[in-house]
Amino acid sequence: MNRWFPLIGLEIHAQLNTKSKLFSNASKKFMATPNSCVARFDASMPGTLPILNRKAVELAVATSYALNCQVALKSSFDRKHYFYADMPQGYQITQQRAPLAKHGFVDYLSESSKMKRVHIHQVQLEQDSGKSLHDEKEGLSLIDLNRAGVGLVEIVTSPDIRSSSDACSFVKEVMKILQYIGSCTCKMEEGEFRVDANVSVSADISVMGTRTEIKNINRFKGIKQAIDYEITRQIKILQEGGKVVNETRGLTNSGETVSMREKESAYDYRFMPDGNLPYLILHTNESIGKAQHKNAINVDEIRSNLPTLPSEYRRRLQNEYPFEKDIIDFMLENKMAEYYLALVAHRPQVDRMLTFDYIRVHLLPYLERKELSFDECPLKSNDLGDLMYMTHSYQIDGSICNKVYQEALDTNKSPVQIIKENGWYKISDETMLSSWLDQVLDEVKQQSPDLLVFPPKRRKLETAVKKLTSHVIGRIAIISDGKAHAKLMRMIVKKRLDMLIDEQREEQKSSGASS
Amino acid sequence: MASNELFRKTLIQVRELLKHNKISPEDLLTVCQHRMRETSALNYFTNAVEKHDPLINSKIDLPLKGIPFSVKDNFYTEDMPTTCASLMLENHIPEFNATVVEKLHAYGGSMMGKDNMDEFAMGSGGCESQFGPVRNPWNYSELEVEGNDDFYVAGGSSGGSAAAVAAGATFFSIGSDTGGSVRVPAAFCGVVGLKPTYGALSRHGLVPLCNSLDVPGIFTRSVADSAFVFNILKGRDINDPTTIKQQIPNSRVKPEEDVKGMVIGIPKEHYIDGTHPDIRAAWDKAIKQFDDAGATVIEVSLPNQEYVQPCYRILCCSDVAINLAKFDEFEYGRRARHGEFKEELNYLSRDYGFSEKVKRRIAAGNFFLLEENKEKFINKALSLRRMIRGDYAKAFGAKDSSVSPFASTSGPLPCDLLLTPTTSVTSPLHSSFTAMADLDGTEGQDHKDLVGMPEVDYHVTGINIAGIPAISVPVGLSTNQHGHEMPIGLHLVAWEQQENKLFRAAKFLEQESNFHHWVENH
Repeated sequence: MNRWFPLIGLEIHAQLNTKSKLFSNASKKFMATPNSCVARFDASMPGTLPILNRKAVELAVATSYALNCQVALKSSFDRKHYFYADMPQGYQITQQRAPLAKHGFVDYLSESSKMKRVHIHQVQLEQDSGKSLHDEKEGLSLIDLNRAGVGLVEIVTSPDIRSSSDACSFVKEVMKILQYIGSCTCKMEEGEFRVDANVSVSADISVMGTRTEIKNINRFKGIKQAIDYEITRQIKILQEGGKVVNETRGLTNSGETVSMREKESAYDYRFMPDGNLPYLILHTNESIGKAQHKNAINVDEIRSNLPTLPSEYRRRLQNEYPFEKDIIDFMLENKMAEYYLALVAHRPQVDRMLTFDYIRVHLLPYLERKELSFDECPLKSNDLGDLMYMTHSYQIDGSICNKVYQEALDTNKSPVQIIKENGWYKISDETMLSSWLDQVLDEVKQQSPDLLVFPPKRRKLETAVKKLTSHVIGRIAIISDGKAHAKLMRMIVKKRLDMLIDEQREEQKSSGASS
Repeated sequence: MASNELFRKTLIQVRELLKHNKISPEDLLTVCQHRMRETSALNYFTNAVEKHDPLINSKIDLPLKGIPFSVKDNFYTEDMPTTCASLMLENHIPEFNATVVEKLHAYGGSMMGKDNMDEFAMGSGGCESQFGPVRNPWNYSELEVEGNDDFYVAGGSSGGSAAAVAAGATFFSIGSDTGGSVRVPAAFCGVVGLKPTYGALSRHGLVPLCNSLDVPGIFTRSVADSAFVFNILKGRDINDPTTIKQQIPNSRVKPEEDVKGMVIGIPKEHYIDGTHPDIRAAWDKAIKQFDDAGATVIEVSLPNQEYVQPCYRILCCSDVAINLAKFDEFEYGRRARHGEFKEELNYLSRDYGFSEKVKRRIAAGNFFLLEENKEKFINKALSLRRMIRGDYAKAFGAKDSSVSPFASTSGPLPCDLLLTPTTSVTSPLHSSFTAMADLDGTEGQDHKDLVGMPEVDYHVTGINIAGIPAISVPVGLSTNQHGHEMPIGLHLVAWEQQENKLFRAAKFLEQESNFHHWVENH
């Protein structure tokens, strides 16, 4: 039985997070009334010209740098021809000859927690197409141009991926990167992020087999389904002595891939430079002074303003505490890392896991409900750090913590202030707590010494200990005016009583042995 | 002054009269409308404006207030058909104005009509319009008197724009120039035709022929008028990313211009066989006039001149194939009455809506664009384009990134201008033009449309490829074999954004040649 080596390359299409389209000022909205977001240019009205969206270029440049690419200071636009009714110009504007960026890479953590690298072949700006809708009942074909002309970055990888699970881990990492820099919200369910997968298998690891392209995978699960299905299908063909046909395939709802074009010949897009668009010229710190217009884009500025990327957060979180991969992924996916790291930097004494859990269980659902990001969280990381610190160091009772947290969110007061105002500070000094315990135990010894005799005569041991504990703690509460930290006190009382019981047992043993 | 003489004035002259209240905008309108009716047989409009803006009598002083003009029918005009002289767009009414139209309205001009043209601006005779050919005003009535139903062609593709100005129906008009489409009809009709630097005027709202070569052009009856309209129309347009970002300085034309100290280059490749002797003589005379006036006249070389037409045809056809793809009855254009399936409807509509010539260019363009032909055609044309531009850059001593590093940098004296004829022949009769251009297709495979017509386009097309400005100035008349006098145009070329030099030398030629637009029987 042969071993088969799959090889996978991806083309990712991510809609740029801009208010308007790539070449027109029509707005970009998901689920808007059909054809309500269409400028004259989007409808290819003769004589209208494309005006490049500056924000889209900035986002694409940021994306390129985040993917470790080299950004070209001079790139150009080409026309790629299709005859589809939802492509009203008869062509898509893309960057074939001179793309915006090339030669990048993305490091990602595979499912087996191994660091792997995918090379990025190129990053290019291009237009999205419109949508055709078919009303079979009425026998009508309808066109919605709302999506026509929306800006995309196409990210083309080298064929570096060997399995569907690596493909998924890589795509997840890219999604995180785009979300972190704000270039795409990556909502696959809204069509903002789509993947084409090129898949081939070969019996020889050093040779690439004939590949097929599965186009337009628009759900995350589909990536794994499509690749797995295609690998199995191709292996089966090869094992039976057949040949894989180089073709475009689509993914069905049931997770199978099907051939999309009847003809085997490759489609000729007849690429041609777009005469309506001048070269896209970008500037550096050195050349920006010579730029001819105030809208010139400085790539150095974009690069230095890049936010911290998920890979950097992952490194910092790992240095901070040996969290498991799942926890780090969770933190990254929920964009919690920055908040968490700031909190820990402010209060290094807090318990790492307890703090993570508190954020996960309390703060995250709250933010999700209010549709806020961690940046916008009314409870600043320092304040939550203070609260966590005071809780973990027994300065307040655990039961009070939630109360303070809630009040801090409701009133915008700092936890320290709330605790102070309410006098919720507890005494956690062990010497102090022990001396109160001594005092109470003396009381008991004088008033009802029977209670301190173990094993008790009339009751079970457990019942007796329980009763004594609650009595002692009740008394300490009175003596300390409620300032003794309840949990810590309980621990000290238990320890002392255990000790007492053990002592008496030893005594009885030795006296029994001697008698 | 007799108001029926008004149409013979230039734009600058009527502006003076208006300014001093010697005439009213209404007078002008009436005169031009009368002139339009008189000369309607020339067929220079596809659609005439029927209702005029009552605001032309407003008190606000605007540079073009009340001045009648017309615009080639491939510029978008709000609420008025824009047909490109094609059946495909017979009833196409845009919902916005092209930027140049918008500017002319804003400056108070009064639009008289949309100028007839070759279908989708493909042609050099002004004959290939679905509305019928444009007729050259020169000798039109004489031929009519002779009972001849032949006529002189107006030139193309902006034939209607040239004829309207030459006939006195408007004081200036706007055409578009992709490979000579303003300068050729200007030379044929004896008017001034300016092709500005690529990007000096906005293309927003101009139905494209070849996006990287198209530029709006200006027809006037004097050089000063041309500079006046150019100053109004030039400038950055946020709706056209290819407009020049820097400020273009205003061009001023003095009442009397001298050319002392200017360097005039005569490109040796432009001496070609088949040039009419009168045109050759006019060229030589102009050279002498420049020389006598203290200009330095030198010979220069444009070694890649022979590649101009192939380069142009490939770039142009490829863009045509793409730009006309949207006219498929589905997006734009008229729908065929029959046909059941989308493909069939599509085929029938395009087959009906486009003329043979347009269809041929679409087919050629799609052929050039095939992946297997890319190296042979498109990529070759793109490098030829850099070489051709490089020739001009060298002649003008311009520093230009497109100049090949292998080209010698120590050329002759850098020129201010180049001087050639505009066309090698004067306007031919429609019958001989049809034979020349092989419009009836009798020569079959070897169709002129794909190789060009050297008689009319040899001197002019390279300018578009280089993206630089040029002007055609009428300098005299040539008597042809039928005994008819037809205008001769000379062609001045400058480096990009140096329209001011063009106007200066063109004004000089104008004053030296003392050309008269209004001769008997015209």
